[in-house]
Amino acid sequence: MIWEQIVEQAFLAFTPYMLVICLLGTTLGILWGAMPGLSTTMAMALLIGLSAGMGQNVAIMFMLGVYTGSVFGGAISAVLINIPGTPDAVPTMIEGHPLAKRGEGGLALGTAIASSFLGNWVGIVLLITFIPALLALALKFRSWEMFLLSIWGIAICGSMSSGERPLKGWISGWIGLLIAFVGLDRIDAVPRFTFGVWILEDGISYIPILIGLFGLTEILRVLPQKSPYAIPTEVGRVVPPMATLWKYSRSAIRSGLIGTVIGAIPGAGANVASFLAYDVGRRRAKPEERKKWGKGSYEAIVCAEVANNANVGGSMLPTLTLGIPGNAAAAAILAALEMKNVVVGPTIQTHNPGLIYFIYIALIIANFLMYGMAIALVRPCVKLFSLPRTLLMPLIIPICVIGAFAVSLNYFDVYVMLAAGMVGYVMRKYGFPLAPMVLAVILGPLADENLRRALIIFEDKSVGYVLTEHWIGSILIVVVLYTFYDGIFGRTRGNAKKTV
Amino acid sequence: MSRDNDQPESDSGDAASFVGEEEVAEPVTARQNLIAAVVIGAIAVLAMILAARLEIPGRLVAAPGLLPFVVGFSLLLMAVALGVLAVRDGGARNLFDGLGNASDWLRDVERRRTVLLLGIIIAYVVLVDMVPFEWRMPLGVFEFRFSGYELFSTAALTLILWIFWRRPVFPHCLGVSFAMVMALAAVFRYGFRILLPGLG
Repeated sequence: MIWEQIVEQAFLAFTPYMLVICLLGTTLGILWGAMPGLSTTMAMALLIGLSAGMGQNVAIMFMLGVYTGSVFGGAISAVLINIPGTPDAVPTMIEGHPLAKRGEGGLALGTAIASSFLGNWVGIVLLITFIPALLALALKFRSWEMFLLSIWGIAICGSMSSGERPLKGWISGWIGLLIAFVGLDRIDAVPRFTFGVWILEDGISYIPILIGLFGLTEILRVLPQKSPYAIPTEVGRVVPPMATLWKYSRSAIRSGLIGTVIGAIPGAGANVASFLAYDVGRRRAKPEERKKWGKGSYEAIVCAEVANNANVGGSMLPTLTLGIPGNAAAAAILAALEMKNVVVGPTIQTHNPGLIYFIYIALIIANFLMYGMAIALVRPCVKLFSLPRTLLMPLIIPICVIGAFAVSLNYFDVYVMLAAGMVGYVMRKYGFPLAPMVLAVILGPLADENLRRALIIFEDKSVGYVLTEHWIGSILIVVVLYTFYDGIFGRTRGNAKKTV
Repeated sequence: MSRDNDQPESDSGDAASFVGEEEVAEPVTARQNLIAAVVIGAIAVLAMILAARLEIPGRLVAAPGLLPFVVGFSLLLMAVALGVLAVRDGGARNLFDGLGNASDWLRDVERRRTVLLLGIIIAYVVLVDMVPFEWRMPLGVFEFRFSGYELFSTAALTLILWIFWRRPVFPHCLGVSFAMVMALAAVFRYGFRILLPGLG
């Protein structure tokens, strides 16, 4: 019965029309993600409109193509112009851009593409094979665990993006948390940090912050330089050697697992997954490989890209089985399905028999097409983004304005982008990393809401109850404390050794 | 051992050190760190005061100001730690030298160019918002539209390219800007059917 449904759905999916639609979605997604300042969430939110006139299966195929393509597309601008298209592409930016400056942009992107391809496969295979187990694990992440996971994500991001002094990374993240608190609080609707300005009551979206901090800041930093850096136009080898991929296969599988599990936890998203895999990857890397981290490591790109793409499959898990979107982009998929009168949740297989298999097959097709299209687009992208910075950077400004405006069609977001760009410029001048701030603006509301909910639940419970009944939370407390301890004392020890 | 207050804090030349985003960042002095610590400390104190003043509609454990207060307090501790490290590195020496002297600060060519670029971008963003308009011109079944976004984007881009591009031929800059902005506007407006800023 199951196999009959799978074969039936495969026949529906493997028609030339469906393949063209998926290719269109994937290409649009890659190009969208590659444009500095335009994110996956934005692509999904805005392209739902295009899918409205399509049939149910066509719309699903199109949206999954966009999703898969845009998650990878963020890596292109991250590697070539140091502006991540999506927040989860920040680790790829940290590692890939130094490689692009050395003339290895093609191979860095090729590694990112192969890793994305692999990551998608890990996500799909785990999604199909371990739905009950993954779901059971994901459902153990309740309010307390979600709060700790958010804080862990920001702490790791602070450590990983700030080099020798993680303190500056954590400060950046903590300022991001304060920005995230602006607006009406989600439980009691009390205005926080709004200073009586009504437009602030809606809160501050992370998209203009991302565009300002990475897009505008980079423009303000690079364009006025007397001789801005150049990206070599020679693309060189794009497809990474099999031996290289084999060498990093363990890191890839580990990162894929991290990406899928994090994706399955509602709300956590690819941002946490890519930083977590990046951090774990650095700790597990061989000493000679670890020396390259932060200055252009292929293994680091593998870790980050596998994790954020495995997250696509993972995020589909709670979306399809519980009707709870794994992240904002999955919420857009949910909206697209609901527009087609598909009731998503535990009854999806009863009300729409076979649809879940169609979605798996669509993900597999999108993955293959993403790989082919991305490889084909690397050379033109490297050529385009190796234009002189003095020509390229100004052209990004109008894209940043559209990107900030388009999500909620509110011009206030453009002013937020402008302010974020100026703040980001000053922060860079003072040596503060920007990635933790963006991640904190994304995770702040999640942390706040879940902490308060958890504290209400724990109000008349003993500490022993909390530590034993919420054992995942207890593990997370230990790893959060270890992250801070390692950031403070681990780096200090490293510096002391270096001085000696 | 204290470092000179104008010496950069990070040694990016060491192959074994992990640099993260610092790889692209400017070298930072202890004096800059001390200034940053003071500003961040002030932000943290302000956040704590505002958080403490928030109303508490329900139980204290679920107060809207709880996490903002905790974040503000921990940010204050971090600012103090940064300040202590900066003072230890010699950041307090000659702290006020050159402060308030704008002409000295602007003597650096790159800074002047940054201020100029920022000024153009601010003017561009404000003009698109403050002078919204749209022209519509029917061309058979197709309706050509031209809005404040296209006009001010073209003007700002032309100016920026004319100043910063190493090819200061005005018609070239105008041509590149116009082509780029019109293509971008066409893709978003007619392709994705997304409204552009400036009544576009």
